[in-house]
Amino acid sequence: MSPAENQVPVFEGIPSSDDLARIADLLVQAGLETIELSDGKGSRCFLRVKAPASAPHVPIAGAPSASVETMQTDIAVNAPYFGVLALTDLAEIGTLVRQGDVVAQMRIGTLQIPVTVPVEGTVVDVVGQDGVLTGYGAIIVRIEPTV
Amino acid sequence: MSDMQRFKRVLIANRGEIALRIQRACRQLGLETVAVYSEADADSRHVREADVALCIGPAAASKSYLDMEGLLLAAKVTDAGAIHPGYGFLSENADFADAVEAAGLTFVGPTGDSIRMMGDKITAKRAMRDAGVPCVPGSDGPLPSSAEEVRAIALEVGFPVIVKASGGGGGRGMRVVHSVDELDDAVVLTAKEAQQAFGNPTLYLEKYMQKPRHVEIQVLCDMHGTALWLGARDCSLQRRHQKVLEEAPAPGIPSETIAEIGERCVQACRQIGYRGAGTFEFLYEDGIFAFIEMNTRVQVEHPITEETTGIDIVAQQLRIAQGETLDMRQEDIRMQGHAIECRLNAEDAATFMPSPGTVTRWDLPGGPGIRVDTHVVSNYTVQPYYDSLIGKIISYGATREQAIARMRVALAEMRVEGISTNIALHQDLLADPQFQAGGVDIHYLERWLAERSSS
Repeated sequence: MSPAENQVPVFEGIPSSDDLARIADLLVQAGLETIELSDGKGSRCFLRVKAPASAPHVPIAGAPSASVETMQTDIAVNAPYFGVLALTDLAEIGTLVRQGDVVAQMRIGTLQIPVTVPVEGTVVDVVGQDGVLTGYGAIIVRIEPTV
Repeated sequence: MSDMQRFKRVLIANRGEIALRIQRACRQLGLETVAVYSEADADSRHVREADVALCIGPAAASKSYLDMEGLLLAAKVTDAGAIHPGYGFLSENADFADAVEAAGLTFVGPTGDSIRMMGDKITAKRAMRDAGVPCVPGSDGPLPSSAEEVRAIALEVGFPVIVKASGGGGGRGMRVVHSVDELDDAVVLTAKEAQQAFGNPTLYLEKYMQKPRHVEIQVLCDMHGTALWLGARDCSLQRRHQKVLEEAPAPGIPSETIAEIGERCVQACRQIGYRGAGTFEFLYEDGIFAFIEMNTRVQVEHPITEETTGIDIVAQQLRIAQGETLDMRQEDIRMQGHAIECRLNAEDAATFMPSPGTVTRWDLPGGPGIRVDTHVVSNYTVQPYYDSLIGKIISYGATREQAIARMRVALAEMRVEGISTNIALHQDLLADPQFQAGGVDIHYLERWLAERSSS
């Protein structure tokens, strides 16, 4: 790969660490947090950079570049509140879910708070346990987003 | 305890060392605990050791430890029968106390009405004056709108006076006035600030005591008319109205004088139907006590009273909340020996800026008369979101000299790495001849710090 310095490298498998660092710098400069790369053959790569505390749009000379936090191909759906977890039929590995679909309810007495899916994708893991008291922020399911 | 228990499971609506302290008291009484915590406190010791632990929100206190609705729902979903608020956060929020009781739960503390009464400085002072608790001379109520009448009050009280916001506290919304010429401007300005900061422009005025000490009386009251005082604490060593080091009893004040004030305090408690633990705070100068405010909760410095009386204040709070009768009389309470508490803060020794981070070494002191109340363990990360108190070292001795000597050894033994602490400050303070003599005033520490930094 020999892309111009201001272009995201062409995605051909897992990028090298140098490429990852360059992509991260480009994201920070553009004020973006996440990017998805795909090669049209089903391989995808998600990158997310941690925004610096002051979130400058122009990198400060000499400052360390934003680090690549994770490289993930799936995303976690977290509990928006605490309660007793009640999984729905959609919370099953292999299920195709759309944005806004409810994969679980957090129940406190008669109160029910839905756990909704942020993007369309396939459920690849069910982490939450049905009927168990579950805290705020706990991972309920993992989803591999559809391209 | 008997089958008469009102509750078997206590939700601890707090964090840090006080959450652990409450958890210990619950365990000793055979009560189960629910630890609710923010995402930032997931690795806390009391969370790991609780019967039930539940993350209720993100790090921001407004969405976790200050979220009334969330706490009530957490109590419901965990089957807790009582909520202990600790200190800070919602401990002195009357609406929260009311909401807890309205939900059919027990609030480990006084009624919402008592909290409300003491939260308003003017109402509190009036109630105390009516009950015979000595108060500082002042306007005895809101300042009139007429500048002329305000001047008349100030002249009668005698300058210097301090103008304070009725809804203020913690050193905010107050102004010292040294002469009658400055008075009009000071009143106008303070009212404006009070309106902005507290949504209430009501002011009052008091004699400004120039070199007072901070002396406070601990009380315990059950719901059956028993009210006890547990002696005095001297909390004069403060920086920016934050207590740094406390001791019990207050050096140099005769025990008969404390007994007289203590009796007035418990009399006031009976009159207002107070229940639970509480503290009457006074300024003390030239033999005169002047009531400042009542804290309607357990205080950070409660251990020094526990050491000198042998009474477990937090366990008593829980017993009182169960509806039990205090199983002691005033004449049974012995105040013996001397205790000192050093508050350990994660802060820069020179700038006092918070010093969050991971504690890589945490060696605690020990030996006779040394107690450490802390939630910190090795590799604990001090969070930047909350106050910087990381623990308290409490020393006890038969005499003040012995308590000081034990504390100096304890501080020298304590090893903390990974973060900065104020241990060196405590060591310097304990070596200070004026502190050793006892009875310094509330401005002493700030003067001492200023002199030290300029030399």
